[in-house]
Amino acid sequence: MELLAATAHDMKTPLVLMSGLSERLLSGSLTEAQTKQYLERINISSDRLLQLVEVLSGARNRQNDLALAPVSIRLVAAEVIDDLQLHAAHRHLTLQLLEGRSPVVLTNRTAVYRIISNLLDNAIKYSRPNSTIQIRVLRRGSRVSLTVQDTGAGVRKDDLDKIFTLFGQAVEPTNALPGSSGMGLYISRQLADSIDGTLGVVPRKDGSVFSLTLPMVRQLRMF
Amino acid sequence: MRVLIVEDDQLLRELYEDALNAAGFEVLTSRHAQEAVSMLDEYGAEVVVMDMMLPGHNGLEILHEMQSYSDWARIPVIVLSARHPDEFRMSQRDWQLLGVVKYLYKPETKVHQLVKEIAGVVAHVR
Repeated sequence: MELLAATAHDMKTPLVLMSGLSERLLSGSLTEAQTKQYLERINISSDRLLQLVEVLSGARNRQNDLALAPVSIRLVAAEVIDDLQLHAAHRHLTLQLLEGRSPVVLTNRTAVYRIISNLLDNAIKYSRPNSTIQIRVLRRGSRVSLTVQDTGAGVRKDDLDKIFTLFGQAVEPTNALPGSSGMGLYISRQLADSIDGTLGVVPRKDGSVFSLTLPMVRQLRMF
Repeated sequence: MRVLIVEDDQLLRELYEDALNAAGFEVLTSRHAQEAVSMLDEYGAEVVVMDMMLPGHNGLEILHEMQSYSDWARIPVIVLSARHPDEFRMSQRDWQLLGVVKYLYKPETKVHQLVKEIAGVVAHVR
């Protein structure tokens, strides 16, 4: 219910924005350049609304039993990287999936995709331009970890848990897409909990390392 | 007349700035509490329009801080928030003590209404 209330709240901003932009367009007082800019922003806002509806859809799906299947975490990571490559490039960032094994776990693929997507989106928001965001997939005993290392200013010790809470955005992101919700880490932790995973962060001197760790319920074929 | 807009959403901030500039106001903008405080310190403002959900600190904290400085305590504040005023469980008097002259609920406030409210506050200040 908390996620539903938070998402509903977050939907107000793009709706208010679309209302305001269209109001100004209808006033007839804008230049051609302003008109084009305002129409682009209505487009961005509608995309954001669609993302939030996806969040709500995900919340509804989690209330049913999550479908489990063998999932290669590395393959999912590669897919997310491919999908976000353009977004990263616009901000002069490189996404690098480091070499390693590709353990398979019995889990929910959609949840894993969403979590990795949120972690990478977060890394893109906070990393300094012309740097590389590194992604690793590791097996640690009976668990699999995916880590995302960014090149941002780092997370303060007091904020280590706060950033995973609702409205817990600690500082202003460097590269946020206009209208981004700031709920990604909260949603990711909720999703990780739902698939018996853990989500954490370790601050480093030159950025942060976020990690998603999942249990390998049983060892499946490795490739 | 100088208006300070405190709003963390970039597109909303630019929308309000455009509309107020078109209406003849000088506009300053800030994304969060620390920046708002710096803006007031350096430039001052005749009216502040404040969102209540900001990164790091919320609007109530800034309002309390403004009241602790005699120069800023006199600046009328219009709250413009997606949070309904009922969520705060504060009386009108409580808001007035924080310098808030009007609470505008974003989903119910058109841009031209915001401009009109600001113009009304400014006329009153004069």
